[in-house]
Formats: sequence, C-alpha cells, structure tokens
Amino acid sequence: MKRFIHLTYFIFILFILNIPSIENVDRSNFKTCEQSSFCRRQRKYKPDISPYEIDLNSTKIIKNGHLRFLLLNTLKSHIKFKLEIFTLEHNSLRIKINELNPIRKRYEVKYSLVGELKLVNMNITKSDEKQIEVNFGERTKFLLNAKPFRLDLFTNDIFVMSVNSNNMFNFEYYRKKPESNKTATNNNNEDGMWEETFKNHHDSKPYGPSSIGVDVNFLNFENVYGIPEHADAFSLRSTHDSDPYRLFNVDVFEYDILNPMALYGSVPYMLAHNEHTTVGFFWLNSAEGWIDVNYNKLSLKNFFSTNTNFFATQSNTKNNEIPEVTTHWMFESGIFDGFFFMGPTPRDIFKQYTVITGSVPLPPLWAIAYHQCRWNYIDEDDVRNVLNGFEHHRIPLDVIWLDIEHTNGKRYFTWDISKFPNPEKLQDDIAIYRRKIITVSDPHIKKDDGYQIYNEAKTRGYFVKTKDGQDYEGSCWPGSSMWLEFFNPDIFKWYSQRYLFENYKGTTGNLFLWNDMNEPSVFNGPEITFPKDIVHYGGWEDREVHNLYGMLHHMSTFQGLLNRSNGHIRPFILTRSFFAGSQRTAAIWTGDNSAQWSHLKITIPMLLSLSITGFGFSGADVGGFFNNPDPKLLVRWYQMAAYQPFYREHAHIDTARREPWLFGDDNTRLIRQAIEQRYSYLPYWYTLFYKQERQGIPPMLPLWANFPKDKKIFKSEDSFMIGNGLLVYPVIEADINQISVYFPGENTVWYDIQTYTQYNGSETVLINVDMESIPVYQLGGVIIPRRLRKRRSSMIALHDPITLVVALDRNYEAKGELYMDDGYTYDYRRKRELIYRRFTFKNNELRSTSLDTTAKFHTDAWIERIIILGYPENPSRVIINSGDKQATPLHNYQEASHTLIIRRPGPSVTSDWTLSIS
Amino acid sequence: MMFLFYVNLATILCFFTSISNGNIQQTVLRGVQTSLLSMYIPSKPFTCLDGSLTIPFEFVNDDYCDCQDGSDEPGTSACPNGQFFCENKGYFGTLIPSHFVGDGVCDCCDGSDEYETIIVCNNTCFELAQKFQASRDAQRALHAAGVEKKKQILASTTTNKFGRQKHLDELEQDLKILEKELKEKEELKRQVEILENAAKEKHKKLCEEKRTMQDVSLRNNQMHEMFADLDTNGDSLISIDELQKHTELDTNQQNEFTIEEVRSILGSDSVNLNEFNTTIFDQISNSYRQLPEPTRPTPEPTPLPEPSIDSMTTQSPSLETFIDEEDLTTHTRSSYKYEDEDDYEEDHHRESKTLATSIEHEKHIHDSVAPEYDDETKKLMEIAEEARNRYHEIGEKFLSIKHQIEDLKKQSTVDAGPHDEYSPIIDQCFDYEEREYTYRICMFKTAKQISKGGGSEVIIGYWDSWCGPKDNKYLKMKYSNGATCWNGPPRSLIVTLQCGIEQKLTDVREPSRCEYTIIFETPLACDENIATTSLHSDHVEF
Repeated sequence: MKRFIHLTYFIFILFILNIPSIENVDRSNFKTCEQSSFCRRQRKYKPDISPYEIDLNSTKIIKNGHLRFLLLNTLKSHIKFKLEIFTLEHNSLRIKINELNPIRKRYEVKYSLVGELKLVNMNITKSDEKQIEVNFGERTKFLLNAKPFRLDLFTNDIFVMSVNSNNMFNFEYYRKKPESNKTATNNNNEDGMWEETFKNHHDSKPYGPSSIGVDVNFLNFENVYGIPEHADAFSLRSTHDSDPYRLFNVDVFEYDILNPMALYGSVPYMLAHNEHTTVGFFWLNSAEGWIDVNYNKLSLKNFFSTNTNFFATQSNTKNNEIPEVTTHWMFESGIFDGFFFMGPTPRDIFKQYTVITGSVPLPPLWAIAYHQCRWNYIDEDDVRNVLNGFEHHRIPLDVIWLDIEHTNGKRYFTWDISKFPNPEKLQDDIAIYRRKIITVSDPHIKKDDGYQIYNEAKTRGYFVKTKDGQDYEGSCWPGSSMWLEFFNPDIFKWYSQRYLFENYKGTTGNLFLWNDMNEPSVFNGPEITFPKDIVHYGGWEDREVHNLYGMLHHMSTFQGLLNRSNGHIRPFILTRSFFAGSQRTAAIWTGDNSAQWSHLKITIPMLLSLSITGFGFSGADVGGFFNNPDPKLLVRWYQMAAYQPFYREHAHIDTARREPWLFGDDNTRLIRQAIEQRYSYLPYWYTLFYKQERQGIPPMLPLWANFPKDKKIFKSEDSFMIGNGLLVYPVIEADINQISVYFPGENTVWYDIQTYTQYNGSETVLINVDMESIPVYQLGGVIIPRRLRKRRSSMIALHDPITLVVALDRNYEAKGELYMDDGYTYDYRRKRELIYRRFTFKNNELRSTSLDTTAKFHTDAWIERIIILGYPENPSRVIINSGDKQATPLHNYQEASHTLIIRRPGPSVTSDWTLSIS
Repeated sequence: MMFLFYVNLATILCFFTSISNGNIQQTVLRGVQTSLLSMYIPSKPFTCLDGSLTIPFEFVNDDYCDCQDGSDEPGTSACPNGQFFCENKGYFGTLIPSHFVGDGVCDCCDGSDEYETIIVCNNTCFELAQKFQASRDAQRALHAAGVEKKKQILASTTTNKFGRQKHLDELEQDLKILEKELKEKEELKRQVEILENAAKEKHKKLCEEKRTMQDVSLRNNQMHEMFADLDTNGDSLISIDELQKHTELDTNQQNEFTIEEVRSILGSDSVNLNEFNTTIFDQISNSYRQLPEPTRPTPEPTPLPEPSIDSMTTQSPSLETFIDEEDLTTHTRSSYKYEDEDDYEEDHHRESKTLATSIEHEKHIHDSVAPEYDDETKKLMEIAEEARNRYHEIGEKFLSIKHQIEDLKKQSTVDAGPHDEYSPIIDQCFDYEEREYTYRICMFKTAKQISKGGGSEVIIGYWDSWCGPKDNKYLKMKYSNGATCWNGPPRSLIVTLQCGIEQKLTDVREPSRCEYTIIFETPLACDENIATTSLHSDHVEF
C-alpha cells in the first residue's frame, strides 16, 4: 500500500515538473539566428545594388604581392575602409578589409597562423577605372571590380569563386552610442545593436554593433564542405529552411544530429569540390559566426554574357545556367580576413590551408593506437584490474585515461589520495608495458582558498575579468570556479609551468593530458559559456575572441609538456574545444555523443569535415558517451573506429561498464579482432601521419580526395579512405546482412583485405556481411606496410618485422611508403633519426629505395613477408638482392585469389633491395 | 594472417636460404612444453599440432609463422597465437602467449621469454615459490581455523534445516491454540460491544433531544433581541422606515433599498412581535446586522485574517500524515483476517503497530467529542474496552507467530549453499561502515545503503541468486532490483564470499553507477579440502 502511494506520488511529481526527456539537447539554451541580433540584422541585408565601391585611384602597391585600396560605403561616405590584397605562395590569396580609422581597434586573430606568410609576385594584366586584373601563382588570377566592389577568382582560367556578387557585403563600423535610444526604437536596422538579452542573461554591448557580413559564392560547384564543428552531413546542406550553420564554441549537453547548431569547436573554413577543381575559403575570425548555404542555378546571361568560356562545363551552359553554391558569412566582430585557396587538386588544397595554419605534427606512435577511457576509473585497483583485463583477454592497449574524479574535488593538478595514493608507482608499472596514462585538466579553477593554484592565480590576478574588472565567477564541475586568462602571455606561461614535474605532483614522463570543458563550459553562463562582455587581456571582449579560448588552453598545456622534457618528447593532448590552428598542438574528439546507431553513422561525416579542415587527428567516443550501447552497436563502433585516426572508448559515469570483455566471448573476440586490425596497420597509419606533418594530407579522407573526378562520390559519407590505399565501408546499420559498396575510380581494382577477393572500379557490389565483417579494401597500385605479429602495445612492436602487402593495379604496378622512427621523441626532426622508404613494384620487380637519404635510424626490423595481390600466375623463381647478398626465398601461390606470398625475404627495412620474380 | 601450404617439401628445402634475418640463434626446442616434446623431433618434418600442415623441421622456431595454430613457433614471437613454455625451475612451469617473447616484459620468472632482448630479467622463481608456499600455508591455516569456527557455528545454531522444522512445528501448534483463543476473544468482544453500542445509542438520543430544546430557546432569545433592536421607536411594531435602514437586507444590491422591496419583506406596512416571529425572523436572521452607533464613523469592515504560512502548512496534510490517516481508517475497520492471506501479506509489517495507535486515536476522539456518559454506559464501555484489549493482545501474539512461521518457511526455501552451510546467516544483518554510508546486508533478504548524514535509506537490492562462475556458483551472491537510479539502472549488488575468521563485510565498490560489489568474510566460506590438503601433495618442483 505504502509503496503504491509513493509510486503514484512520484509519477505525479514527474508530471508537474515536466522533466524533459533525457534523449535530446535542450535547444532553448542556445541562440537561434533570430535571437542573435547581429545575425538577425545581417541575414536580412540583401540590397539590389551593393553600396560598397573601390576607389581605384587610391591603389597603392605596398610591395610586390601586396596591394592596398580604399573601400567606401557610398551611402555613408564618411566611413572609409582599407582593403588589402596579398598574393601568397601555393596559389593562395589573402584579402583583408578593415575600417581605415576605427574609433575602436578591431581584433585580428594571430594565433592561427604559422609564421610570416610568403608573398609571391603579382602580375597586373589589366587595370582601368572599372577593374583590375591580376595573375599570380600557377595559372590563378583575380579580377577586382570597383563599382560595386566585387572580387572574382579564377583557377586555370576557370571562374571558381566570387565575393560580393550577391551584394551582401555589409560592414558595421564602430560608432558612438546615440544620446537617446530614440533611433534604436525607430530604426529597425539598429535592433539589438546596443544591448541584448538572452534568457536571463544581459549582454551590455558597450561598443555597439561591429559585425561583418559577406557573400562568397562558388561557381559551377554543387558541393561545399567543412566549417566544423557540426553534427551534420559532410556535403553541407542548404540552410534555406533552417538556421545558418553556427560557429560558436559551446558545450552542448546531449547534442542532436543533423542540424546546424554550434558545437565545441569552430573552423571558419569551407571547401568546394567538383570534378575539375577544389577550392577553399577561410575567414580568419574568432567571433561568433553564422554561415548560410544555398544551392542555386546561376543564369549566365545576367552574369558574364561574354565570358561563358570561364566555365568548364559545357553541357549546362547550353541553358545558360550553371550551378552555384552561394554562401553568406556573418561574424559578430573583428575584421574581414579572407584566405582564398585556389587548388586546383584536393591535395593542393590540403597543402594550401596547412601552410597557413599548420599541419598536425607527427604524434607519438602510442597515441594512434588504442585508448581505454571511462568517467571514471575509480582508483588504482580499478586501473590495475582493467589493465589486467586487457592482458587476460589478450587485447592490445596503449593508454588508460583518468577523468575528473581522479582529482581531489576537481582541483586539477591534484590527486584524490584516498583513491590514488601512489600515482607514480602506478605510472611506472604501466610503463613496463610501454603504456601511458592520461589525466584530465580543465580550465576552470575551483574557488577555494585552500587550493594552491586558485590562491596563486587569485593573488596574481590571473582570472578572467567581468566588464567591471571583477574576477568572473561561474559554476562548473567543482562548483564555484574561475577561469584562467590565457590571452595574457604571462598567465599562458605560468599555466604551462603547472605541468612541470615539480609542480604537477605525482606525474612522470608517462603521463599525458586531456583538456576538456574549454569552450569554456560555464554551467550557469549564457549559452553555457562566458558572457560576451567579459574583458580579456588587452581589453578585448570575449565577443571578439571567444572561439580562441580553448585553443589557447591546450596550446599552453602543449608548451608545458614540451618544456617538461626540454623539448625532447612529443607531447600528446586531447582537446574538446578548438579553432583553426588547434591541430598544431592537440588531437580532438567529437565530444559527448550518444550510444545510438545514428551517432555511429554521423561520426563519419563529422570526422571527414574535421579532416579536410586540418584536423587529421580526430575521433569519436567508441560506443557513444551517453547511454549504454547494445553489444552489436559497440562491436560495430569498435570495427569502424579501428579505421579512424583517434581510437578511444569512453563512457559517461552513469553508464554500465563496457570494457571489451563484458559482453560474452563472441563479442570479446570481435572487439579483439578489430583492435588487432588497427595494430596491424599501425606502420601504415604512422607513415600517413608523417605525410600529414609534411604535406598536410590528413590520413582519413573523403573518397573524392583520391578520386576527384568520380562524381558519384562527392556526397559519400557512408565510407571513407585511409591514405590512398584503404577504402573503408563500415557496417553502420543495426540489422543488415548486405551492404552496397561502390568502388570508386575508373579502371581501378580493389582487394578485400581479408579474402583478397578482387573488385572492379566504378562498380557497385552488394557485399554480404555478418558480425565479423569490417568491409575494407586495398586499392590496386598501392603497397601497404603492416605488422602481422601481435604485441601488447604499439611501442613494444616498434622493431617487429614488417609484412608488405603489394596490391597490383591493372598494369601490374604498385607503390607505397614506410616511415619509421623511435615513436616518441623529436629526434626524427633534430637528429634526422628516421627511415622513409619507397617501395615500387614494376616489371616484376619490387624495389625498396630511400626517400630521405640523409636520414638514419637504427632498427632490427626486417621484411618477414611480402604478399602480392593480383599476381597473374605462379612464378618459377623469386630472387632478392640486397647489396652484394642474394637469396632465393620460398614462395607460395594461391591460384584462386591470385595471391603470391613470399616467405621470409629477410632484408632489413633500412636497406635498399630488389626482389625479382621470374 | 595468411598461412601457407607448401606441397613439395623437397623443392622448398633446396631453396631455403635468406638474407640476414631476425638474427634468431635457433634454439630448436625453445618454448616447447615438456609434454609435447615428443612432437618436435629434429630429424623429422614437423606437423603443425592441429595437423593442418607439415613443414621441414628447420621451419620450427625460425621466426616465421607457418602453422595456423602457431605451433611451429613456440619460442619466437612470430605467431600471434602460439604458446611459449616457461620452464621456471624452482616454481611452476607456465605457458604464456608466444607474443610475450622478446617484448621487453619479464613474463617468466626464470626470464626465459626475454632471451634476446636487452633488458635483464632477474630470476624470481625461488622468491615466487617461497611466496607461493607462504601464501598457501597462510590459506591453509586460515581455512583450518575457519573450518573450526564454522563447525561451532553450525553446531550451535538451530537455524539449520532440522532446527527450523522443529521450530516450525512448535510454532504451528502455538498458532492453532492462539487461533482458537482469538476466535473466543472476538466473540466475547462482539457480545459486549452490542451492549456498549446500545447504551451509547441511548445516550446519544438523550443528548440530541436536549440539544433541540436548547436550540429553540436560543432562537427565541435572538428573535426578541432583534425585534427590540429594529423597533427603534419602541412602539412594539416594526415599520417600513425602521427596516429600510438595514440595507444589508436588500437582496438586489444593484439599486437602492426601496420601500417596495422593504414591504415585500414585511408583507405589510408594519408587523408586531408575533408576526415577526412567524414570518420575518427566519427570513432575515442570516443577513441581519446591527446598525452602528450613529455618532461614530462607519468602521472599515474588518478584513478576514490572512492565513499565515504556518497555518497553511499545518492545515494541508503532509504526505506522511495523509498516508497515516488512510492507514488508520483501513486498520480500524480491519480485523485479524487470518484466513485472508493476501490482505494480510500486504501490510503485515506495520499491522500490529498501527493497530495500537489506532486504538489510542479512537479513545481520543471519544474523550473530546462525546459528552459525559452516565455511569451505566461508562461501565459497559469499560467492559467492552477490556474485551477489545484482550482481543488485540491475542491478535498481536497471533500475528507475531504467523510472521515467524512465514519467515521460517521462506528461509527453508532459500538455497543456503551446497551443504546448507549458509543457513546460520539467513536473515542475519551485517554492516559495513564507509565514509558517507553504512551498507547493511541482511543475508538472503535485502541490501541497503544508509546515509550517515541522516535520513535516507536506499535499497540497493533484494536477494536474487547465487551468481558465481559455473564451476563455483556459491562464490558470489546477487542482490538485484534495488531502487532505480536517476538516469541509471536499478541498483544491484554482488557479494563475494571469502573465508575469514570473523564474519564481516569489506571493500565496498561501485564499478558502474549503482552497481555495487562487496566482500563478505565468513568462516562459513572456509573449505575443509583446502584446510586439510596434505603438504606432500604439492606440485611445486623445487
């Protein structure tokens, strides 16, 4: 009876409180464009004629490669702007527009750029009172139209991009606040200019309106990509019927998929790709941004009636119509600082963007192996038991993670000694297996006089300040907290020093870092983050620099870890918040996803979007952070993530344990197999990460990056490639026994990596799948180095022998690379201790040559096996020559699959050799 | 991993050369377990242990994996699934995965798995053997002492199967006697209550008559008063003028109190006392107000007192009082329906307690409401009260025994171990004190988490089943279906039983949210076999 009454009472309470479903994000916590006044103003700005004009008489050549003009708003002639054009190396162009004499200095982001940008010569081919035409780079040019202001860009004489061709350029100059608010009420355009309120949060806006809008249009393109981070499609969707895509770093609790809401990080960089060209536009701006995307048909009659030859596609021009993607970019503050990357190939684009913002440096080898995480591994015994579980179940593992509960009451840089009485011993014991430990360190500092970090920061005035100059106080995990002012170089340095062994007690060289909650997450702040009128170092409002906060946090951590080893050991940091340039110092993950099939699926487009915008080292929580995955979902996630750059299982504190062996023997085996596959391909992954450091090409790629002319794959997001050699079609549906696999590329041949079955390019094949299946195919023409031996961790396998998998193309040729070094130091840079080999198969000969003859690295690793796929017949003899030595290794030929296996060819990986088949 | 099938061994052998290799100093039989040595004969070709392939013996331990089962490479790390035998002289020989060979981790206590790595493995076999021996001795001693204790407990307890049955028989005897007695007492109670009720009824009637008379005289007084009051000129008549001053009597408040309206009340131009009494008084007595003294200003109508927050909270019954009242009514109506098992089961925990309070409550009501009874009624009531008390007394005894029988019956259905050895702790409760909580497990019944900060007690599980591994089911107990966590599963607990001299709980953990584990040390888990293992049956090879 009593129990019954309680139950009904409880149900009653549920009703009156109307507790929302735990499944979805509370969208009302975050602004829509309508609720963000500058977006509201900019979005409706659509004049028929742009009032902005360039005064070509003002043209000034600062130096070769750098031009300056005056830009005027003809409706407000007292406001002058300065427009600067820089022609940069690698077919890149930079346009900066700022007020000529602003009453308040406007913020320019510097943290994203690496070093001085190199100018290249301009060749002014035409200049009259209407326009100016300039050639630069390799067959790239721009045309600057004066009245109205418009910029047209051409690659190989093909018209690719246009700025302000839709007249949406709109620059809100800084102005004095009107005496009365008469104008504000009378004039619709000034709506929300001087203050606004969202929920209970008031934004004081002391400097008034300062936003900039501009339209950037991609001509003859039907797909644009990038502008992460959104849980949305890879080929960006039209925002015609939705909000624009938003860029504003926020902590979204249980985010929804397939919508343009902002997430933890922002990169204002968009790519467009068609079968001829790949181009990119990057607006370096750290304020809140919104981007509308629309897919249109452009009538050429109204555009360039005389210049239809600018467009490469002939078929469409018959109707005098070409496709166009129009995009409208709106930022709340800062300057217009646009970079235009002219391609023309996907690889060029990756290079062009990463020359400007930096590429992902080669991570330590263990960081691209498997990570085990949970909020939280409770204490030392728990950690040891989990590690024993991996030993017992023979599952390789490199890193175990400790979330917030390992600290003393969420005071970062401390340990809860009741649970971790001897963390150094724990790290030393883990080090025996060459494994690592990672602890979390967030930017909020618990308000507690007894906490040394707080005390010191408080005394020194190191906390972020409100508009009134008080220390800003908000709430986060520890309760009342304050945030460190990383924009101040002294504080940046001081914070980095907290990671030194003498300051971060209980740490050893085996411990690395995780920076979470750094958007920053402020539980009681507007949109769960800082108020915009917070004043950062230098007097800049959070409004101007918001999206940089997380990046500065992890950059400081990186500096600390670097200094900890005197610059000898490569740091590893995982960050949740990021901005353009974050890739130089941290890996990222897609935050708090959920144990649902839809989230497994969305991981592919999310990671691809990150990959092509510089973040080649990214991943999603395996299994999904919130809720409990059923075993099938968990297995499928392990299988997919085995082929994604950052491979970590992680789970919320409220979920059931999900270590790989908790779901029965079959599932344990399936998970083990997935992780083993990851380890077997680590030599390939590591080589790809090295290439990324050098060339900016991310390891995980959209199919079009390798097959740019194959129009069928421009929207693909059910599949992806690892390097140019592996095509991955993960099983991402719950109950299916067949998947449809399209093999891209004309005249290509593909090999199933398990069975070596061959498939032809440009064909779609139904592939039978069961729970064992991870459909992955190696491209004919590519040689992939693997380690088929098993080890407990990646570093233990460092010098183990290599198996080369040579997949022949239709001409019986193939090539590939192998990069190796010590796996964890900077000696590969400082002492050139590395090997970088090229393998080439041609004319029945497989050669190993060095791609970097000045390099040296000592290793016992040798080639233990060569598997040649698609070899037409059983050869009579195989001979290998290395220096003056010769040998005739045994071989085995499998008729059915046309596979030739050479047993123990034996050369060291460091030597030159030639294998001849006859 | 691809495995090869060499068909023509003779041909293969002549081609078997290679350039520099993994530098294996072949120790041909390295890593082979003693019992399998006969399968590895250097002069003969080797057949993989799974029979899948035969290879030249030179391929054994040549640092290349030929056999699917890894049996050709027991001494190298070439196969992902091979097994390496650590000889471990002085300790147990053990098998480790062959991929542990040469990985820089000392896995064999004799260091034999790291024969070619730069790290130096100390030979720890002797130490390990000593430790093993010591721990085995300690275990043996612990179990020996524990078994003694266990015997004592089992001997002194009556709660084994036999004792329980005996006790049950006794209780059932008692219950029969009590049942009979209870029926007698109930009959007695019924009879005296008939008399009591009759007397009370009579008393009630008398009271009512008296009250009616009082009411009549009260009205009469009021009527006279009002008449005098209205008759302002003292002519013993109430005129229209006189009544018109009383605007509160105007039923239609919209307009003035007109002469017509007044007349319709009076029925004529004036009335005398008698007419007033019969036709007017009852009509106006409810709305009638005395006129204020003309000299004083009209006072503000006094507002109703604002209900204070206190009064509101005390007025609205809290959930607890609400439940109690409901219980009360249920229980005052109920009797000891021993034949109605279902009702009985529902609330048997609180039945006797609430019953007692309900009687007190009843008393209280009678005292405060009822007027004084005459002596005869009082006496009858005393007799009835006495009979009720007797009845309840027996009723409680009856219930208590009933519960004991239920518990015993329940206990005898519990699986208390392969030899019923956990019988003595059935329903016994043990506490574990932790920083914030006390964990209380009542064996085979419930597990609770009691907050030390006061108040809340949360069920973390009800006895579910034994849940040890297949070969040792009685190692672990499961308590499941506890209170559900917010955003989480129902709480549950796994208790691992361990041999110990004292009975106690240790080491509570929460590996997943709301899934608890704890260790229970008890002599009852001590094992005669371990205690009596002869020293000479050891397998340690010294």
